[in-house]
Amino acid sequence: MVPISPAWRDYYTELEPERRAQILQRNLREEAEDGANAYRQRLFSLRYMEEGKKEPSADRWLWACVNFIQVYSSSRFFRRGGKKEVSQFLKESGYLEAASYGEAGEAALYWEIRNTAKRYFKTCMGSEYRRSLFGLLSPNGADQKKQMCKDVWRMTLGLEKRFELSDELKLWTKAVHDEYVLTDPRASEQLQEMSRSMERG
Amino acid sequence: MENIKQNPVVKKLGFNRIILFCILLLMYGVFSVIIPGFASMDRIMSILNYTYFLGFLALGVTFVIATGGIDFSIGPVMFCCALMAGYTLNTHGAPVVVSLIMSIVIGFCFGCFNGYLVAFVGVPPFIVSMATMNIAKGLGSVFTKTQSVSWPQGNDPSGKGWFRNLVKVGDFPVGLLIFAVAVVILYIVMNNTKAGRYILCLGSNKEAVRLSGVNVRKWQMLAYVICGALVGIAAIFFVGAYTTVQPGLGDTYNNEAIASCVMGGTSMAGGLASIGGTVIGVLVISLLQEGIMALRMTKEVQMIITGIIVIVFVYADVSARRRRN
Repeated sequence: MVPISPAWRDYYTELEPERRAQILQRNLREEAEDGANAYRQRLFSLRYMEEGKKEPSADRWLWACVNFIQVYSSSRFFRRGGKKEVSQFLKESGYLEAASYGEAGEAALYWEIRNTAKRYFKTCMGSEYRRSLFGLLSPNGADQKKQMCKDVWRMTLGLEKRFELSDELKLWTKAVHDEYVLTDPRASEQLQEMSRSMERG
Repeated sequence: MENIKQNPVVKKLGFNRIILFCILLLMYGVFSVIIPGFASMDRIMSILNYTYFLGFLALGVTFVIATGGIDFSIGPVMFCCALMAGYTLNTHGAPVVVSLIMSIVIGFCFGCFNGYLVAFVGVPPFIVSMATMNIAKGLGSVFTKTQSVSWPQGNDPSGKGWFRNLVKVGDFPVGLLIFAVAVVILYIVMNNTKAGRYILCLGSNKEAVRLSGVNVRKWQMLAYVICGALVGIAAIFFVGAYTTVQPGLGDTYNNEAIASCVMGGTSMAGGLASIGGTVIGVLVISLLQEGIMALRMTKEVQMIITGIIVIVFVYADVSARRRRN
């Protein structure tokens, strides 16, 4: 995908919204305009900002990660509602506006999704993630990684397949997968195995 | 096998649910063959009587398990609701409606108590529900002065037995209709409302949900509150079918309700719940209880068999997850 300058790399590797806001403001002042600065600002605002609040708070894109997993697993009787939820996120998050900012816009969107995925994977490393036996047992590292792989499949390929959204979610899937393979040397292989296993049902 | 799983109808209904339903039919067939008169209307009504209250317990605990928690107090709380409401009805002459509402309110309060301790204070659900189990048993005993409580019969001269119409009118199982409506409502709540989605997401990844700006505590507490209210309703159906409630009991129903959930496909790790599966699980357990009773086995043997079933299904859930991983 499109490479980014070190200054923007800082912005896309930082996970804390407050710190990201500072880097964004600094980069907007100091970095050369590549045609996507307005879009970056818009993505930031749509992702974190709430009406009446000056500081970034809720991470709506992170919610999309968690929610997409559930949307994939949701009841077959409410399939249409699931597809609507995904489409609504794509519309309200600024995802569909990337094309109007050209290549730089698509790159900005790609890196924003990677940042979201990175934040999601960080939450998967905590002891609260997927405790088994009614919350009594902490999962071990291997279990966490396997569960994480399943989550990745569900929020990307699973969702694409179930709701026939391959075109719409192409960039989302690519960005999440690209970030996921950095979490573990065997991640790519595990994801392929997971795809085969999930497709078998 | 893979061809069967890929069948659109099987996919729509869920492979595991179909297997469980086949087990249910098989069990009914076997019991009908080996026990004379098992297929009679009386037996079916008896199975349904067990299904109503166990169903409400299991549906309630499904919401809690979906968050990744557990509630081991549901059985004793159900007894506590029935004891306190029944005692108020008999001793203080409260109207039946007031007693029925009281039962739901007591269950609701226990749900709030459990939910508050788990979500706001941060006490592990296992510990909270074990403690609440003892509190409920103690409270029921203290309130009734360790006396068992008998709810009025249907033909009670005072006319207070009308609440039994909630279970059946003549040979018509009214309870089945009420239970079916409740199942549909809870299915929609779990699968098509914001509350249900938050509850499931909490079980899936609580930290990510918190960072998304969702009030994690509120929704986690809600799961326990829903469970508590449903336990209160379960108490009404219990007394509607069985009349007498003894203090200090009720814990055996925890296992049965939790087993129903787990065998129905609700994950013990949270994040995955099946209301339809829980209902089939409840029917399996109810049928099994009736079958064991019809075979003239003692209550102790029933407990052993139920315990074994819990172990088998919990093991099946754990090993299935290992295999999938």
